[in-house]
Amino acid sequence: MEDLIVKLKGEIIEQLNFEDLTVDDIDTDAPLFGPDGLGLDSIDALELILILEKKYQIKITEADDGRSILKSVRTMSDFIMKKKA
Amino acid sequence: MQGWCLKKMSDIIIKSHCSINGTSAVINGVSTLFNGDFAEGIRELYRSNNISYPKFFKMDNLSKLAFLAAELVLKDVELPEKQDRLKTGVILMTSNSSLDTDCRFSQSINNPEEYYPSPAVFVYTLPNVMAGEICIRNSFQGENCVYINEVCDWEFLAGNVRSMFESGKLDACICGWCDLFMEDFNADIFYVERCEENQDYIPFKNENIEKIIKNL
Repeated sequence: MEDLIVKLKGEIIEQLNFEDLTVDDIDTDAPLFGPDGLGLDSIDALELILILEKKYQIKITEADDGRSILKSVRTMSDFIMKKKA
Repeated sequence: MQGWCLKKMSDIIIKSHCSINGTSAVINGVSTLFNGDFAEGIRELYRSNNISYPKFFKMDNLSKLAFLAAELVLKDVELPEKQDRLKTGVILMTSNSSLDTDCRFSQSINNPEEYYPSPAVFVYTLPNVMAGEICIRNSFQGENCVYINEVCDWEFLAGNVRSMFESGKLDACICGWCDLFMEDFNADIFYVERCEENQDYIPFKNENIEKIIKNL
């Protein structure tokens, strides 16, 4: 699980071009969107979906689920683990 | 940028100028070296000027160039309060438009086996996004537009800026040329504004624009 979280953080940094961030700068449980976390926007949300599709071959089929799946790095990794189980 | 002549209130004056190309970045006549390729040089310029705007790294190269030129041209300019920037605009001209990003996006979707079009790249496949980035950063709410022309036509560009001032739509403006394709890039950006009484700055006239660009 921890390996997946670190990998996911690295992929987020790469896909979203966060040149000034390292894996350690991303709080696993902090909100990815909004002022308290990474401050991602709607375009970034699409990029996160792309990570799930490209790297993990997972699609979010129900749009309403996106909000809870993309809430934090932890919720994303939980979702990946659940789908891969 | 002071000391050329005393102007009337109806005049438009040049407050600041910045040019960036493959060899140097010049801010109001003071030149620094532009080192390395575009990615390396623009990153160094961003960091050496202590700019903090994480979204910069998500921009395409054309927007990075325009954004950084605007940051540098505004470095020592005292802007009005944010709520008073309703008549501050951005008027730019480019030749290659968003072709650089268009090509990158096209390459990214060429392989049917690896078909993952990136939304973050796609949003930059329009040249006027560079003007938008400058407006968002500085809370500029005035007119903004980007003209596409084969070469930089200062007569047209400056005439357009003047007509915006004369019609009362603008009181201040970032204007100029910003063009990029791969490693070939060049930006010449001015910050101009309506003259206040007894201000001593350079009039926004074609001969002065030319002199400044050529660093005479």
